[in-house]
Amino acid sequence: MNDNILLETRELRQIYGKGRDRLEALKGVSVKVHSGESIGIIGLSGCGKSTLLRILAGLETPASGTVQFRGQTLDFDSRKSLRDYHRKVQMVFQNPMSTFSPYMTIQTYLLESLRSFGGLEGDGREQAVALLKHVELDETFLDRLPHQLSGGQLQRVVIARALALNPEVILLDEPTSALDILTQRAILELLSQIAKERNMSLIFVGHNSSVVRLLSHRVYVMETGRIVEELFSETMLQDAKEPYTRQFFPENLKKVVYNY
Amino acid sequence: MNIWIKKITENKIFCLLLTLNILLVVFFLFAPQFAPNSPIEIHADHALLDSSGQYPLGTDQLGRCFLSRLLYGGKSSLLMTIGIVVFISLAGTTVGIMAALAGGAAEQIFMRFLDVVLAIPSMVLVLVMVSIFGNGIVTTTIAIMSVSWITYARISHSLVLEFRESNFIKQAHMGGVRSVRILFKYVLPNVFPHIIVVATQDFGDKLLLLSSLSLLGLGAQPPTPEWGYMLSEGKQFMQRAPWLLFYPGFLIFIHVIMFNLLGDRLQDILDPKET
Repeated sequence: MNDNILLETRELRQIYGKGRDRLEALKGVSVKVHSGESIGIIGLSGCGKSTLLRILAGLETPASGTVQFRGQTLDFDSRKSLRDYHRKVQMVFQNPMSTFSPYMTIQTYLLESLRSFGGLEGDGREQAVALLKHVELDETFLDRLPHQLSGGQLQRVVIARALALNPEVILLDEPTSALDILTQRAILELLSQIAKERNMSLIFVGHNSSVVRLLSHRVYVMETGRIVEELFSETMLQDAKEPYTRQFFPENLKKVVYNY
Repeated sequence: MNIWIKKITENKIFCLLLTLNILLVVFFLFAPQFAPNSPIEIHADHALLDSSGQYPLGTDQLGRCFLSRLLYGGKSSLLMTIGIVVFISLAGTTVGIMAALAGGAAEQIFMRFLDVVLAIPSMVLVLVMVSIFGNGIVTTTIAIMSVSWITYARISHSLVLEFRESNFIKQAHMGGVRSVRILFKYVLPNVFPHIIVVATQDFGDKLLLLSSLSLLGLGAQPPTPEWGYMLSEGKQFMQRAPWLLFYPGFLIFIHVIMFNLLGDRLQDILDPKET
């Protein structure tokens, strides 16, 4: 499996602010994702997992360290390098509503990446319908504006757009945290099914171990900018050594809720 | 685009207000055609006459037909106001968006400069400029333009800042969307609805500002008819000929109210969450 590394970070560091306000958000993070493998990243709020995801998305330049895709180092200063990278790596953000321009119809939104990368056929309506079909939505949504859709429907549209370029990796920043429990389940099942069908890698960030485990083969546990543990999803409940990691397990999450 | 046409046609009150506003403006732009007499011809022996067949709304202190002056005055007042609002909204918005997209030190310096200018009441700035460059309708219009665009620059700048770091712009970057398309498809559609609403409501403000300056004797100069200037002239004869104040005052009031109501309705229509 080692020869088949799709995405890899080496000693990623990220620093925000200066002087008194200096914050080291990442303190040398190295993760590997193999082709077709999905990984989860869990940690408390502020542990640096979203920063890591933004760097992996090419939206932020790290203070030091590298991101490699299929052995090629991503050049954060090169538009071409980022453009090539974004053909293969897409992202689904936490709050679906925030990823829509309120004045853009769903059809235009869905076809934006295809239009930019030259994959648009005609007016693209058929392509848009096909994309919606993947996420179990129909043609009637195409002419609507974002506020006319529910949170779950919006997140499905976001996923459909991410699929438009047929990427090899989809980064998911707590994609279900803004949704109710039933919609969460439906979205997670959909993502899992799509990943399997397309042999696509998912990098899922969250703080609920059962949700992360559902989608991932391996899980990285992050604490204050560092990876503290790396576990296989199937055996993580038995293998976890760090007390920090155990607090994300379902029975302990319940305790936290009851104690609160 | 169909969504917006549908929203506009479904909002009956907006359609009514829009029609009335267009009719008002068009009427006054072509009003000189209907003027029964010359607006500047003086008849000293006809001064301050009450309404009659020859002078439907009476005459002013110099015996000029008041209806004709109102109709001619409407054209210059409305043309100047429309010109001012169109210019300041376009110029201010362009500058504001460019400053926000440029970022860095240039943006900071420029915006602090605008803060300083905004701290001085615009009426004072206009008065200073008019006193330096001289009275007159053109000078007043240029003076108002040169201080009023700043409001639009501030509004558009803060709107762009609001979503410059937003997820939908980030996602556009990830989707390989080019900067020009981001500007026209993502930035402008989110800025223009706000600007259009502000501009519509500003129409009334600018008409009043222009009239106030004319009232002070700084805008239109005799014998040019202009509503604000006509008010200024009429105030000396308030008791003997109240129509000299009533008619231009009423027309300014009607236009300000109509454009404010249109702005309110436009705000509802352009809000994508209003169905």
